[in-house]
Amino acid sequence: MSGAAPGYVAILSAVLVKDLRAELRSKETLATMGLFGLVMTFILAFGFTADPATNRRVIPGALWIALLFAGTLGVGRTFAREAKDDAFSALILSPAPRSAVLLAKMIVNFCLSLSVMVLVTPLLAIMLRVDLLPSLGPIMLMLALGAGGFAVVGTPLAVMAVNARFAEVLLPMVVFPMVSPVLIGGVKGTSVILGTTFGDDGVGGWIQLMLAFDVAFGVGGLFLFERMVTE
Amino acid sequence: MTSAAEAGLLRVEGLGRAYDDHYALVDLDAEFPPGSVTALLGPNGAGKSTLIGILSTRQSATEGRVYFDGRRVADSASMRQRIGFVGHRTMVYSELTARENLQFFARMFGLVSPDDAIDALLDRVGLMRDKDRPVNGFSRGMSQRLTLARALLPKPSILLLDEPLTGLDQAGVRLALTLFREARDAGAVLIMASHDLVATSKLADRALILSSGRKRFEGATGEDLAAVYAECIGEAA
Repeated sequence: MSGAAPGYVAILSAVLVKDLRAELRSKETLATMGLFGLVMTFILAFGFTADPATNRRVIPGALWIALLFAGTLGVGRTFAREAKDDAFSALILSPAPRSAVLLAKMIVNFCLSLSVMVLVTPLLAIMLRVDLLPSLGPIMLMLALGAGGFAVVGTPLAVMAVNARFAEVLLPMVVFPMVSPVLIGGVKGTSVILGTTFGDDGVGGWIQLMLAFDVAFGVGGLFLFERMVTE
Repeated sequence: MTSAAEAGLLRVEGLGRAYDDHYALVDLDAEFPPGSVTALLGPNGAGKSTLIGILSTRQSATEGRVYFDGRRVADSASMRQRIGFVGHRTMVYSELTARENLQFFARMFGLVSPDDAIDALLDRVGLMRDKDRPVNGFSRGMSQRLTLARALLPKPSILLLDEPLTGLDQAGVRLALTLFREARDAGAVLIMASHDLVATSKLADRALILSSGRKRFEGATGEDLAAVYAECIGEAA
């Protein structure tokens, strides 16, 4: 047995496997997010019951509200596990590249948010009687960019809030305003895809905005993470 | 090149840590020789945790320098490669089994083929029969034993111990002290912050006593740790 500086990809995959294994065993985060998404879907479906044409105008907002709350919930939960017995300290006191740890956490949060939306999107479409099938690909792309936005903003902030008092309250208060460009882009872009917004050039600009947001905050977070975890 | 006198020596020079309204550490010079156990003592707020935090690279110093092996510590990742840390919290993942926890941390330290070492350590800390059980079914003492195995797995040159005996029963305390002595005998630098002077005096051969962020005593102590502490701080431990 010998010790060498651990490789970036090896750390990335080890943290990913560890988090997914822990999640599959406890099902804590996915169950909470999934249940939350389901309840929200039912509330929105009953609250907005109208003719399909009206529902078609409403569904972009409903989808992004679901992502907003499920995403924030997920980001907080994944770090609650790290904070529970202070395992996160052992993780960042190892020689593992800290940005690899953060990147793995971002990927986990992205996967969790997106998997909830894979469940919620068809359910909302069925309950609101909106045919999303012809536009499903572009809508899922928008939701994936949105889930990415939540992951790149929420994950580093969750690390900073992990030992803060009232972390559950603090995190949404900080995350919500910061992800507003993604939310606006997502709602507007989804409306364009569904043809419920007029006078717009197309969805390309919104996709570019969301992509730029994800890349900027993702790269920025990876660069700043070392400072974030050093007191 | 590292001189023989500096090989394995951990040294801090003019170390300070300022917060907005106070200093947690003030101009601290201290040495921690290889193959020694230094008791880090002092009342609450003395600066013990801050010093451990800086040495672990979790906290940054606002003044001063840290040297190890004759070289200034500038790259925290290479320093972390040589550090083991045991705190009063268990620092393991409760959803994973004991073995999976150690395998995970072995990968974090870049250890190659660690399985035999993991089994040997699990056996040593008395968790071999429970190695495939998730940690959330463990008692506090069992989790702390696993933490000892986690910290010792990479064979650290520096072992930072912040109230490491928390949650251990008498047998667990004896085991921990034996493991720490073995690490010391292998040439590691051990620094142990604790309020338990009885247990600490069984292990430590030196002491660094702090008060209000300033050094009050540094040197060999022998069996008189409690007396030295009382003399420096003006109170019984």
